[in-house]
Amino acid sequence: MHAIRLTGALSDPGASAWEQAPVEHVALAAAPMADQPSRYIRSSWADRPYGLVRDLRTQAAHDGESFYLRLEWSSPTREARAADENPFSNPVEGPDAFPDSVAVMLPSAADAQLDTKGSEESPVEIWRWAEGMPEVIEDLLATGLGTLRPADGGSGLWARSGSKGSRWQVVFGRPLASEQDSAPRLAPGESTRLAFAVWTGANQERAGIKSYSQRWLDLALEQ
Amino acid sequence: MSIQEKAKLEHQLAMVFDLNKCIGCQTCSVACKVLWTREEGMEHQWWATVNTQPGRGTPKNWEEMGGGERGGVPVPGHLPSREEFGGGWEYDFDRLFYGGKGSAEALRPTKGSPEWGPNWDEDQGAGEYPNAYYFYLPRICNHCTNPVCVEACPRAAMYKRPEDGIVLRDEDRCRGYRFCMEACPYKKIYYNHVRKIGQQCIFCLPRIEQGVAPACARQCPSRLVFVGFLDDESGPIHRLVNEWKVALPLHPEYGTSPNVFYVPPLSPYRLAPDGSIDTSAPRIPIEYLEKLFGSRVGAALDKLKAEVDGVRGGGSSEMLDTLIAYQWHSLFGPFTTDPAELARAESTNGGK
Repeated sequence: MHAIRLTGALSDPGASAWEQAPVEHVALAAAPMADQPSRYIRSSWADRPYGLVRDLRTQAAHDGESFYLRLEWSSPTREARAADENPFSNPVEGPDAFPDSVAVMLPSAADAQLDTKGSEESPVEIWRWAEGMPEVIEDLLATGLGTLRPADGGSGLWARSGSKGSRWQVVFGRPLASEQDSAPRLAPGESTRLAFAVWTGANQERAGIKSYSQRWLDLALEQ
Repeated sequence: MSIQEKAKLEHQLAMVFDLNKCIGCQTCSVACKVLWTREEGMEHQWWATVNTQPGRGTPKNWEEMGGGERGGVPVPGHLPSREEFGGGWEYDFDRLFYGGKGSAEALRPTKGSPEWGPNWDEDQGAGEYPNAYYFYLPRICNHCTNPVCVEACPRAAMYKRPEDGIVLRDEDRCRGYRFCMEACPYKKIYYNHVRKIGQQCIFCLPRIEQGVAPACARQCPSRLVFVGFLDDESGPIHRLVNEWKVALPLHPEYGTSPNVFYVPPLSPYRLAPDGSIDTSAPRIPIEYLEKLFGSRVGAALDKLKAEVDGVRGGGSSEMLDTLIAYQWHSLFGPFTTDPAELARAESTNGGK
């Protein structure tokens, strides 16, 4: 992936400036059943399809001040909801309801492992967006499977979302210069790596029940 | 390795509910509600519930929702919906009290038309007049010896305290994934949509640590709830469960080894068509009680009847004296401290 230098209203997922940014489609796959951490989850999801979203459209850019990552995908939840959408109900509040969600994982240290979600020595940072009123935007840190916790704060992470038909459009953004110690380094002229995960709320996907990118993708920031 | 071995359990707290004394007054439900689940996001949470049996219970039809284990294999469970939990509505007190219509009007929910709630089918029961029957079943988290909720969590946010076997949740670790709710066959875990975490009965842990019985037990006006350690051989729980074998777990086939036990309900006599008393079969079908309490329920009822008959014949019964609980503190083992006598941290609401 290439984050080209652009100007324009990049924080707006619907902005025309994004038409200039190269598009990369990332193939997603269901997270392996063998990696699910509890017997209950392995038993209850053995015969249930999950990881429904298999294609994530990605774009990246920076304007010399901030880094922007635009993600778009077709949501089975939105498709299902389109038939009987009630603008006054919050579909993700009920005890059996889960939100559509997307997350980006970045290494805080160059050798951080994707499969283990980092380690004590080499953590990973995870940016998560989830639909809702209000929507959820989280800046998280992991040092291994099951260790997800809020990052120290101060990274300046934000997200904005929009939708078009059944498609979610989400832009994550962060100042290139972060005050947070653990924040992944994002600097013009340098490279880092990214990985992605998507959860389909209507299919009760959450935790390790998701689709993900299986490997790191290289990201080069234009000078 | 079982969870109990993993946790090196030292003791197990337990309760016995004597269903022959439960009058369905909901004092336990309300005592718990007032103490623990009044915050926003907890509207539909009732950690203690009392339902009429036979009935659909709370959440609606919970016995058909799966979960638990069969032959050591987890059984997939259903995540109850808001409609299945029901409840959580507000009444329009203002219209009734200040609307000028006096007693000609009844209370109504402020919005919508609820179709289910935690005590919706109260006193409906089963059977045909004059042999209709029902009884009350109070339920809380069973603080199971094999807590499938703990195993289900992908984040190890739940655990069983080694010192007393109370099943607890680290709310900072919980991310609201709700595999615990799915896995619990008793459907006694709730979702707080405001804090985005699961929540359940904590056996009134802060009271237990001060020697005070849980609120549901202490407030019960019928003196039907015993609290204590299962391994305290001189205590009433050990004697009722292990020695006299008249207190049984609910749905033992769910495979979680509950630590809440029930003394099953004795039946009134049936009436024959001519109005005479028919002693050939109990009013509550034994098949129904076996479905709830397993195959040992018949023996437990026989034991109870034998003790009652003995006392009626002029004898005495240590077991019935225990169940009668002439002294209230005989119910609570080491947890008889009066909460009013505790030293308290300074209140933040003006000492109220």
